[in-house]
Formats: sequence, C-alpha cells, structure tokens
Amino acid sequence: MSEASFMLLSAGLGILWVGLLGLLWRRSLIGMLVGLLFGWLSLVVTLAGFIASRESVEQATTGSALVLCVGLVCALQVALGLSLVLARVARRGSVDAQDAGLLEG
Amino acid sequence: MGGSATCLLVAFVAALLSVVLGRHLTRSLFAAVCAVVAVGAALLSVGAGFAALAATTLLGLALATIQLFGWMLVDADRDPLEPPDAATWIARGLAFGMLAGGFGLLLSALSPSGVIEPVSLDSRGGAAALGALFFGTWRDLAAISGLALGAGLLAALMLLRDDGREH
Repeated sequence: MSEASFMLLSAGLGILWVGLLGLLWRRSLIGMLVGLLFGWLSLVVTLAGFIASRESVEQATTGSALVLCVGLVCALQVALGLSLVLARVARRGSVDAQDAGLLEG
Repeated sequence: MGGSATCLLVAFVAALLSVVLGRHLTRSLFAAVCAVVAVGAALLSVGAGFAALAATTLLGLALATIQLFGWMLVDADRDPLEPPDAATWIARGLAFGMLAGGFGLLLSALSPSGVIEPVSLDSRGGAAALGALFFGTWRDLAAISGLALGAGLLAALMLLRDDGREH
C-alpha cells in the first residue's frame, strides 16, 4: 500500500470516528445530520485512498464513478433529513432526537 | 505529500470542533465547511481526480443547505438541549475511546509495515478472495477489530437513552 493511500485511509477512519461521535453524541437532529455528512465524507476519502492504490485506468474510473455516486447519495440523504427536521419542527417545535423517538398514533 | 497530510489533519481537527464544540449552529457549520474544503484540497494535492472533487463540492452544497434551512428553524441557532451528566459523559467517552482503539488497531495493521495487504476482488475469483479476506491469515485481527467496533457502537447506542433532564 502506498503512502498516499495509507494517509487517506487513516484520514477516512478518523473522520468516520468524528461522524459517529456527532451521530451518537448530539441530541439535536441538525447536529446528527452534520455527523451523518461526516460519515459520507469519510467514505469519499476512503474510496479516494483505494483509488490511489489502483494501477489500471479502468479500475480508477470505476472507483471515481462510485465516489460521485456517494456524493450524490449524501446530498439526497441530507435533503431528506432536512425535510424530516422541518416537518418535526412544524409539528412539535423541537429538534430533540429523543423527543422524535416517541411513537405517535 | 506534506501538504496533503496537513490538509487532512486540518480537516480532522475542524470536523472534531464542528461536532464537539459546535453547540452554535453557524459556528458548527463553518467548522464543517472548513473540514470539507481541507479534504477537497488534500484530494486535489494527491491527484484523486475530478469525481472526488465533485463529491466534496456536493457535500459542501449539502452543508450550505443545512445552514440555509437551519436559519429558518426556530430553535436551531443554539442547541437548547441539556448536556449529559458527568457519569454519562465519562461512559460515552470510554465507549468512543474504545472505538478509537479499534480504529487504531486497524490502522496499525494497514500501515506499510502491517499485516494487511490490499487485495483485488476480480469477477473470476470473487468468492475465494472474499473468503481469504475474512477468514485468511489475519482473521484474528479482523475479529478483534469487529468486536471493538461492535462493543463501542452498542455501548454508545445504549448510553443514548435516558440521559439529561426531561423537560
């Protein structure tokens, strides 16, 4: 494994740890969304690390397409999460994730 | 290589600041944007290509959307929720410390002098390569890493319940 790949993989794991911290530690839905975004960012960095270790152009192109798909999925997921947060605030007036976990009939 | 390493270090610190210290939405998102920009600069410097840059741009746009919609929310400008008490804080810190230990173990094995070598899963030997990946010579390390990750996540998830004072 090359030095650049190892560096990117290390950064990807570090950012994933930060993303998990944001997703599990924060109780605000907005803060959890930011943590989720860091999780996707870590995936982009990790995939870039694997691409850097590829030798053929075809493998690198496939990996690049995957990275682009990851970015698109993250943007769509954040949009969906924001719409849920907006609906939650309009209904209950709170961004508390613990409050959002209550069952409603 | 030094520039990209510095950018990645800046990205990690900014992301940590965004999550840990960012109870104010605008400051938190500013730190998150700094992290995304630093990652984009690092990817550019290692020659990761257009797709990685486009993906980081998309993530930056997603952060801008969160900022825009956050301004529209009533109580998102300042996190109104009570911080957890000291015991919960220490327990969560231990859980995430254990998780960081699992990641560190994985990284030590991934290092150029470590035991893990990257494998290519081509279409012909995919199943055999996957079997070698999970049950090969470093299966013990994979099991330890998996246990550490699972224990950390489970402890953190369980500790999320019933913390703080109810309103």
